[in-house]
Amino acid sequence: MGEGYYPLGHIEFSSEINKIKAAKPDVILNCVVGGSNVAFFKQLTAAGINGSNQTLLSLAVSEEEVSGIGAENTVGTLTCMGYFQSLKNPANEKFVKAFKAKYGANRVLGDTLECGYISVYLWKLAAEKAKSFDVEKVVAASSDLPIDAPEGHVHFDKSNHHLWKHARIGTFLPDGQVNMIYESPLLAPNPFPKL
Amino acid sequence: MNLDMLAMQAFTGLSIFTILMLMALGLAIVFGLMGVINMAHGELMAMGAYCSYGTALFFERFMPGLMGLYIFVGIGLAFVVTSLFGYLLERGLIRFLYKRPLDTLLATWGVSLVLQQLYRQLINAKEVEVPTVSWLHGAWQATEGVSFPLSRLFIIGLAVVTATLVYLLLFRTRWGLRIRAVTQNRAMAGAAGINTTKVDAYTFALGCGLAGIAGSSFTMLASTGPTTGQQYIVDTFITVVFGGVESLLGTIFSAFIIGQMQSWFEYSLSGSMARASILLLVIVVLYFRPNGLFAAKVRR
Repeated sequence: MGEGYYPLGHIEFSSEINKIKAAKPDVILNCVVGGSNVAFFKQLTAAGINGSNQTLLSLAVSEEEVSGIGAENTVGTLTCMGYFQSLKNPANEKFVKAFKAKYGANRVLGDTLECGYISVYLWKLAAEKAKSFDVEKVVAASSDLPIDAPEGHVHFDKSNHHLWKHARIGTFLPDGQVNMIYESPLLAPNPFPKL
Repeated sequence: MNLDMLAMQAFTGLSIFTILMLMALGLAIVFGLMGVINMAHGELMAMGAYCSYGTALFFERFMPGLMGLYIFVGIGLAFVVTSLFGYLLERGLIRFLYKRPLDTLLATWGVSLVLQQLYRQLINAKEVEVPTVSWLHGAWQATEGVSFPLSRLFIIGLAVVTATLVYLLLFRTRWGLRIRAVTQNRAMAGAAGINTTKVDAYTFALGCGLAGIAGSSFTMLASTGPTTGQQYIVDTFITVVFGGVESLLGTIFSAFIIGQMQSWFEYSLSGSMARASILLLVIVVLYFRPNGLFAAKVRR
């Protein structure tokens, strides 16, 4: 139906929203990042477009962003991430509990935070396996290395050393948490996609 | 493009115009009238936004029944806090730099970095959520296909009221007369018995307070975080410079032109191209009229 591109940090979306209103699309694919998301969602809601009357899938909105956007502006919209705080598995329950004990019950977790957290543990595993801090040896040891992360059982790729991960899609709830509605099997990492 | 769309885009242009005007009024006074290149203007707007945030938290906890009124208290508090900060900033830093306008650029840039880091340390490194009051949710459905978001209508009203008050203050009061006298000829104004240092401090505080009002009301449209000010500062300077420094009317006029351009360009081009085209046009205009659209004649 249409595509719109804006400079990073843009905060004025009313023309785009007017275009969206005119086009009446089946789905809005939202690739906006950072603070602009706050502007985008607030202005969408003010213009009468929200999760109850429009399918909207965001690619860069996690629970953390929602704490800045306001859950009432995102409720009912979809998000695609590798990790949600609401995931049900023992590793995640332990992780969420420990995080909240340390940083306060009001803090929320999101995909980026979880990635940062497991990165350190992945490095630890690889360094232990290599029995060395030498970068070359740690990299070599990381091939195929698995970890039981809060996002589930994931592992390094044999050759490019990115992670095999699940892609998950969920709906935002009124409290800013996510109700997962789709989970892919482990996907092969492809850092150099071809058109 | 049909008639509905025409109406909505015209409204968008009007809305961007009032947003730019609110942002730029304070800077037009500080930069235009006083010659201080205030790079911390954006951070003062963020300070106003945080005042709204604080007020919202306070009302939520202690008087949830009056939550609908918090926005007015927030705007008032933002004006008081930022103008007080502006007063202290002028007394503590800016007044030593009046003879060196380029150095105010560096000094206020430093202030802006300090403020950003303070917001990070004291409040939150992430964006905070400032709730929009319930009576400004949604849109006014003018006809079936035409609707105007209430939050934007509110900002239009606020901008008109603020601009009118600033106009009355500058052109209809003794105090405004003194400000204009000091702007036009500092030495003569001083010789005529005007306390120029006092006028400077109050003028600077007023400009900062206006930034606070703008920041506080923009919480309805955009994010509130440590780097919020950076989103506004470029547009603010463009508006003031394009309109012609030293001319409040020029600032308002340039806000109108840029607002309309942004609205129609964004509709017909993609957002990034619209941005580039506007900047290009501003550059061309400034090339031929280096003092902006409305260059006032000022004796230095």
